[in-house]
Amino acid sequence: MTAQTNHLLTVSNLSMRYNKHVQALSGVSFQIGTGECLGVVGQSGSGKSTLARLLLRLDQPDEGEMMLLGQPLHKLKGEALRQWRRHVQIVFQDPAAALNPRLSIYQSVMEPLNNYPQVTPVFLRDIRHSPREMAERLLSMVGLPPEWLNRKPHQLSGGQKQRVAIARGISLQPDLLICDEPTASLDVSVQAQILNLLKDLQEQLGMSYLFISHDIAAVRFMSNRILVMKEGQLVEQFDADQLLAAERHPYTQQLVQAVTA
Amino acid sequence: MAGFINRYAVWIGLGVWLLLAVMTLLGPYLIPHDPLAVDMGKRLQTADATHWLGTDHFGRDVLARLVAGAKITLGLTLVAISAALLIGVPLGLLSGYVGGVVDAAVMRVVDALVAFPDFIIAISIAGILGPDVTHVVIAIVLVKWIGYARVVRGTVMTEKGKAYVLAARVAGTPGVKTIFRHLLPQALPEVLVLAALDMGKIILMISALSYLGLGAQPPMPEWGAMLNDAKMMFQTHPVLMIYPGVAIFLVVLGCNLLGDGLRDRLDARGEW
Repeated sequence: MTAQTNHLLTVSNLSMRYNKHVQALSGVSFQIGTGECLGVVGQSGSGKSTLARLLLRLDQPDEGEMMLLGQPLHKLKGEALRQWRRHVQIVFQDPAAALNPRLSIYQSVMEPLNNYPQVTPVFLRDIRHSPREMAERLLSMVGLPPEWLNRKPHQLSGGQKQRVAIARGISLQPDLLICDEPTASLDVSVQAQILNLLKDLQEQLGMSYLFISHDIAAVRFMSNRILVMKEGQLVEQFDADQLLAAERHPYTQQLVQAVTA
Repeated sequence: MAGFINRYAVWIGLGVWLLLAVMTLLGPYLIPHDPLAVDMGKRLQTADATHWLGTDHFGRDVLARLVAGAKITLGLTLVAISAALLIGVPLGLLSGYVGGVVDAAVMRVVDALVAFPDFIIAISIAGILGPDVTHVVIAIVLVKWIGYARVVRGTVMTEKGKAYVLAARVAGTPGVKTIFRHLLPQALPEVLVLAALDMGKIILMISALSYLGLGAQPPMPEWGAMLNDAKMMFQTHPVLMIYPGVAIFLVVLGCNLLGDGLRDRLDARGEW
C-alpha cells in the first residue's frame, strides 16, 4: 500500500463550507487503494455525505485536491467531467428516492450505459450490442429475476429497489463505488443480504468502495480500513481489524461502546 | 348531484370540448345558413323550422353564427394556450434548472407582470395595438405564459435536488436530457391542470375584450362580439344576448370542470 501507483484515489486537505457558518469538511486527507474498501463512520453531521458529494462532483470543494487515477477530479469541467463521472458511481441511502418512479426498471438500469456507448464493462463484453440482454444480466448479477425489467419501482420492495440501484451503480464497472448508507433505510432482515451482495460484487469486479455508514458493525464487516469523522474533521484512520485496539482515539471508542453497550 | 359532478367532472369537461369540436367540424354541413349573409327582409325573426334559434337584426341565422363562433373561440383559445405553453414551459425549465442570473432575470419579468391584474394588462396591450382579434391573442399570451413559467420552475427547483436527479447526473446524463427525461414529466400534470383552467379564462377574456370592442370586429360571429351587437336590442329581443351568453357560460364551465377534475385525479395518485 506504500507504492503511489497502488492508490486509486488520493484526497488531500479537502475542505468545504456551505456558508459562512457551516464548515462541512475541513482539511480531510486519505487514500483509497485499488480494490480496497474504505469505511467511513461518524454521526450525522460529521461530513460523511458531504465527502460523497464532493467525490461525485455534485458539489465543488473550496480547497484541497482529489486525484483519481492520476487525474485532478476537482478541476474537471463540462464534457471532460461528464466523461470522468463513469469512474465514480454511487448507491444512495434511500432507493425509493434514487429511482425515478415514472421510469421502468429497464430504463433506470440502462440509463448509465446509454450515456456512455463507448464503455464496455468486462462482464457485458459479449452482449454489448443488446441493451435488453445487458439489463437482464445486470439484474441477475444483483439477484433479481430478469423478467422484472418491465416493472415500475413501486412494485418492488425496499431491498429489491436497492438491488436495482446497485445494478445501476456497477453497470459502468466504475473504479470507485460510493455506498452512502446503503442499508440505513432497509429492514434489518434485508440489510445483511445487501451487504453480502455488495461484498460479493466487489470481489467479483475488483472495484474499490467508499462505504459510508453510522453502523459500525456494517463498516467493520465491509471494510479493509476505517476512517472516523467528527464535525467535518478526520479523527483517525486505521486497519479494520484494529477497531477494538487499545490505542484507538477516545471518540472511536465511544462510538464502539454505543453499539456494544 | 355535487358528487356526480365531482366524479365525472373530467368527462363532462371533455364532453363540452367534444361538442364544440363536433359543432366546428360538422356545423357548416348541418346548418344550411351562411353566418354572414345579411337578409333585411328576415330581421329579428323568432325561432322556427328554418331558423332554429331565429335571426338577428341583420336577418342572419343565430345558430349558424353561434356555430361559426364556436370555431373562432376554439381556434383562438388553442392558439393562445399553445403559444403561452411554448413560451412559459421552456422558460420555467431553464429558470429552474440553471438558476442564478437566468432565473433572476426571468423572475423579475414575471414579478413585474404579476404586479398588475391580468385583465388590466391585456386591455392595455390590446388597446395600444388597436382593436383586432390577433392583438387580443397576443395580449393574452403575454399575460398567460407567466403561470406556466412559475409552475414549471417551482417543480424543477424542488425536484432537481432529489436523489434520482442527482443519480442521473452521476450516471452521466447530460443536462438537457435530464430536463426532458426526469424533470419535465414531473411538471406536466400541473401544467395540464393549469392549461385546462386557463382555457376557460382565455375564452372569457377573448369574449370580454370583444364585447368591449377591442377584439373581434363585426361582422365576425365571435360570441363576445355577438353580445356587443345584441346589447342595444336587449329590451326587445333579450334572446339575442342570452344565446351567446349561455354558449360562453357552458364552455367556460366545461373548461373549469375539466381542470378541477384533472387536479383531483392527479392529486390523488400523484402520477398519471
